[in-house]
Amino acid sequence: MTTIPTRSAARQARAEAAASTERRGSSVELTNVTKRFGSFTAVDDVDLSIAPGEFVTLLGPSGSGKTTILRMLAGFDVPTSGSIAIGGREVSRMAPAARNIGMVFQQYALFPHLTVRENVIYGLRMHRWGREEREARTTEMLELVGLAHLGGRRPAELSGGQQQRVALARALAIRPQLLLMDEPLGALDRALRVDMSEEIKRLHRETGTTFLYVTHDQEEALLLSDRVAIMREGKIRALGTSEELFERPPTKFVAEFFSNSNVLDAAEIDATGDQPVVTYGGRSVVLPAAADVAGIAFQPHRARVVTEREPRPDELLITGTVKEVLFMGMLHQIVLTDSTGKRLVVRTSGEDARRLSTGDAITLAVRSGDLVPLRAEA
Amino acid sequence: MSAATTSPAPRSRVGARIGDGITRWVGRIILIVSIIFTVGPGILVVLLSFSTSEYIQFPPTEFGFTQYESFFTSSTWMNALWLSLWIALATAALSLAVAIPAILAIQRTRMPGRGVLLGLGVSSMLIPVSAYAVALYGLYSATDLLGTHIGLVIAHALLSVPLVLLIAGSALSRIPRELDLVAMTLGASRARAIIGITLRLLTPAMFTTGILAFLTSFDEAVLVSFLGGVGLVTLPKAIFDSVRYGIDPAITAIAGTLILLSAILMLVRTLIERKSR
Repeated sequence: MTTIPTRSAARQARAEAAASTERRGSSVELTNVTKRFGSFTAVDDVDLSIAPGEFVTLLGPSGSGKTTILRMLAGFDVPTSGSIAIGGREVSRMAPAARNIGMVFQQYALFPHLTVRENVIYGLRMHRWGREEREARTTEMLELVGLAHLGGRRPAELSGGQQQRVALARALAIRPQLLLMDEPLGALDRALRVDMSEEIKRLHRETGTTFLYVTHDQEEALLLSDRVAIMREGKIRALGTSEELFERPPTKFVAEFFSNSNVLDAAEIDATGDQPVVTYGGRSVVLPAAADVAGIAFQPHRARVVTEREPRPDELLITGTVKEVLFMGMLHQIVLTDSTGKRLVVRTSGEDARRLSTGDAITLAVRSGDLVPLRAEA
Repeated sequence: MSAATTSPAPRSRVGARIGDGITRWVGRIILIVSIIFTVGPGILVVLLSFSTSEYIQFPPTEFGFTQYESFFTSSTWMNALWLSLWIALATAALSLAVAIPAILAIQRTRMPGRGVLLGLGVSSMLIPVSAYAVALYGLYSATDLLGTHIGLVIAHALLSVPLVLLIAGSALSRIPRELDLVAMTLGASRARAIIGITLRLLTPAMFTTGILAFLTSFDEAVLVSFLGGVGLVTLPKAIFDSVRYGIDPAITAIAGTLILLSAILMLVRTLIERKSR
């Protein structure tokens, strides 16, 4: 038991020492980047600016262009037009080897014929590190990911989580200015994903490198990143901190894809006055002043099941039919359809949810302050 | 009880059991016959090769190394054996040199027309060897390649290139592309990543296909008959020639030697595959 704090303290000290000598992460600048494959436009005129040492996630469904951006940053693909700069240096036509970046793939991509140590050493050898520095750096990296005792094993003898740790150690050993990760947790099971997320956060903090992470998993994006860029059809549709995008999704797509919010398609919005007025189910409420309101949404935990207490005037009422009640431990998830047939999901810890069952009529109340105004899609 | 035995369900179960039994026995018989026909001739010829008789006769009456002695001391047989070995080695080298870069280009690049290239590459499997031989005869007599070593090696490589493309191709498709990409981000040039990682991992498959190409050439009697002219007498050709004038029992010793050689090659291949795992 006593070895654990000692080891982590030693690790902490070493990381701090390393961080002081280590080159800090670089900025990344994408300007008007477009990539076409034949007639298909994978990335469509994208601008993205990442600060040195930042952790940014590209989140989007498959085919949204996120992996193509990663591949162009790595140098596996050349943009059709536009420029890519890493650390202020134009790299869009530079070979991958010259970019000083790290890459981690979903399927680990460890060299199967080399041991764990040899895998980590590979990049240092390519960068012509001296023998002693090479060995010391490899030991340091394997300790950093907690695998120093497995250096002699072959990748096939390791678990998925261990293999991904080796891949991280290998990518970070060469002190890259930018670490690219392509769905690195995609092949792991759920419990391991959470562990590895923590590990990735820690490595980000301790190395100070810029991390660019690609995933289609909203939860990973929330857990890990400073900022999230939400992509669809080759464009970045929204860019902001996880909290911003989760609490105040700007558009319907972000509301549904990222923030699990319910979009009230049947709501009518009158934006002619100073403050927009929302009418739904025969009641109207006034929203805080906002420009260009095209729709409204609310988060699953912002709705209250109406029982005895009368709705207040600033609450919007939603009547519908319960489709399913799911017990989730700390709360109940109620799936319902509103009068127009739109599927809505609410979560409540209230006693009232317990009495509901499939087919029951239900009335929900949402306060106007909890309604999120949505812009029209760009 | 009587109700149970007369009801249709148990009866069909009995029928199924009989059916299963028949299938099992038919399967066993097919298996045994197959084994006899695959392994039997080999065993027979090895037995005959240790006979001291001047004719091929079964069963042998006396055992000794007479046949092996006459094989290994005859300059005709030895010249044919050496020629065959060299032609087969050159064939293996040429097929690998052509087919490995080809399969890398076909699988790992966006080169236009790579599907067509693969189709053309394996098409020689579809053309009967004798048809090939006639066509090549025409081509070679026009280009003075008849009776040359290089001509014969090229002809043999035509037969083994499809094997290399298919076998090395399936091995290559099991090596993730990401390995090269990762090596490049780690500072390796494209060439270094391909040679150091992908080709390194492809070595066992290259060895296997090399052996197959070697054996294809070593065993080939049709093309050499058409294209070898008078000068090139490989071992299979020499065997055919000898059979034309009467049967020399030394060919049983040749057969025995060839079986042993193939077995050794296959054993080496298995060992290499096991070690690389």
